[in-house]
Amino acid sequence: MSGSIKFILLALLLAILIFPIWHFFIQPSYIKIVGRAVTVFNPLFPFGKMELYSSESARITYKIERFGANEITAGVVVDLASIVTNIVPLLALVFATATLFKKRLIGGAIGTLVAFVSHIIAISIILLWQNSGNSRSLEGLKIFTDGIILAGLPILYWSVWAGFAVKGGLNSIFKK
Amino acid sequence: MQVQARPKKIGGKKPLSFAIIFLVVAIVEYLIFYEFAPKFLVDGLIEATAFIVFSIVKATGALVRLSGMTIEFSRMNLEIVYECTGGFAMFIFSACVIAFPSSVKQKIWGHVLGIFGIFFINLGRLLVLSWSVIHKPSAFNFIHKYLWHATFILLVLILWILWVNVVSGGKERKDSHPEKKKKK
Repeated sequence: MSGSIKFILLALLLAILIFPIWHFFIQPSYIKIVGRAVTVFNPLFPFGKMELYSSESARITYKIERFGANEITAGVVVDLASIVTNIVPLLALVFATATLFKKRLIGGAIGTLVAFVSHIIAISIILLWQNSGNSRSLEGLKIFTDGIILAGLPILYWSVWAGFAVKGGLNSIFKK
Repeated sequence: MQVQARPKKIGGKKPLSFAIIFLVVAIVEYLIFYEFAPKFLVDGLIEATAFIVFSIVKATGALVRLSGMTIEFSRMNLEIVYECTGGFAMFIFSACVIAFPSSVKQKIWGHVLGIFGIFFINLGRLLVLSWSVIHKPSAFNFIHKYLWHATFILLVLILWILWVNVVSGGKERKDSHPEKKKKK
């Protein structure tokens, strides 16, 4: 069995194993953390005053009060289910890569941090879009973030990380 | 002894240049084939996807109706949107192919493989979702929001690796043995 086939099978197996652990044990806490982190970066976005109202299951509710408008947009709900799941394939790819385990651990940690930042950005864009009254350009940015950046992040991050972490880079992984 | 020159490889030879090319290609393709694409093309792709899924599901004997871009089942409706067509997955795959060092011809073959491969992967995804609507509606949200998001991109990666090994790698193995070529 060639190296690349082993890598693919191992990545798929790891994704199947990591997913229930992530979904049932880690995701609930992670969503609270990322939801709160978005409010920390609130001053960077023209929301006005924003606070985390509640987080249930995979949904976060924000209460947003626009600057100077005395207008409260209550209950802006963001469903994070599909947003945060990209951590699973990202970690599966990193840990399936044939390199030192220590490098995989570091790669997984950095990858999780990169994914965390991408989730904050994605949620902020969603809030910006909803708060703007469904602006067309912000909607396009939201769709691009969801459909391309979040979905492609596992492959993109892994490709860059493997280029540094594996001797010979991607070529040596693909052509074994 | 004549040695054929290897085709010039274009792409990101370093990890960061790979990432930059990937992002630029993804942005450009998103803008051309979605954001600024003619509405009739975007809608046409969505309607074609809905029609194909509807046709297959109907052929299995299921009670289903097609209304524009919506597949109507007895228990719920499936509205097909652009994200359901595999278009975004194709942008990601295309970005991987273009960013990976390879010749122009190999990249073209990569896109041919990608169009068919992602079409069938996506069709499989939609048929699994349709099956869950008919037989296990309670599992639909889980499959739609979680399972496919976790595994779909790995299937796209498999296609990419397949292309590198079969199209890009196979040609290299031929070129790496020039002594086997006919002497003139």
